[in-house]
Amino acid sequence: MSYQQPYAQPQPELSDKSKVVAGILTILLGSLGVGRFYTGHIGIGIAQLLTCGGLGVWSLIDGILFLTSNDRTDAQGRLLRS
Amino acid sequence: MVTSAKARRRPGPPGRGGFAVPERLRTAWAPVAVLVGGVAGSAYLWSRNPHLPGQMLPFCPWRKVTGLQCPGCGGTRMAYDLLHGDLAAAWHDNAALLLSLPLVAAGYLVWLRHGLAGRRWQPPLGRRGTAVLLGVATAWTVLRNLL
Repeated sequence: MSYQQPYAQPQPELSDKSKVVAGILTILLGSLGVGRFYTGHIGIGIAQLLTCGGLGVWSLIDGILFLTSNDRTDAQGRLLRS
Repeated sequence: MVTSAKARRRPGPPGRGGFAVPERLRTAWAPVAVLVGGVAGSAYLWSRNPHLPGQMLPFCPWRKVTGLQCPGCGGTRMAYDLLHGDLAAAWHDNAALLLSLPLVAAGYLVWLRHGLAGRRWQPPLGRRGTAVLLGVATAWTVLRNLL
């Protein structure tokens, strides 16, 4: 039997994708948009693929943000695993 | 794939934000910003020939460092040649980008339409579609660097 804590916050559902993998894929293969395809953001992935990863700048910043932030979600809105 | 923005809110306890941004604004700003940026960029590019050096235009850092062309390299030159009506030169700059342009334009219009109506939209590519797209992009990258 599960014990319900009186003031527990509802736990947001976790994604099956990892933010470390997303960050590394975005930094290394950003000019193909691979990191964004991984997290399911198809539109952003295509945009990065067509523009050399936003001239390298966008995908670099995007990848670092994946690695450093804790509130990034996948395309379904679920928090990425750390 | 169309999803209402309400279902895609960030996780966390509700009701902590300062004020609510209208739904339509939340979904419409990105496609509108792309349109404004595209028009402004085209106007800037019109009088600068990217085939010549020293034109104060952005470059691909990947190519600068490795000397290899990424799948999108030649996009600026292609845009310039298309603006000036030179289809053959545009084909020579980046054939794959030119071929995908009608699809990209159609996708953009759908995105804009949904965004203005207050809905989020993603290209309806499944796992297989994504794999095909990345496969084609990789093949194109290898091919253009070998030829």
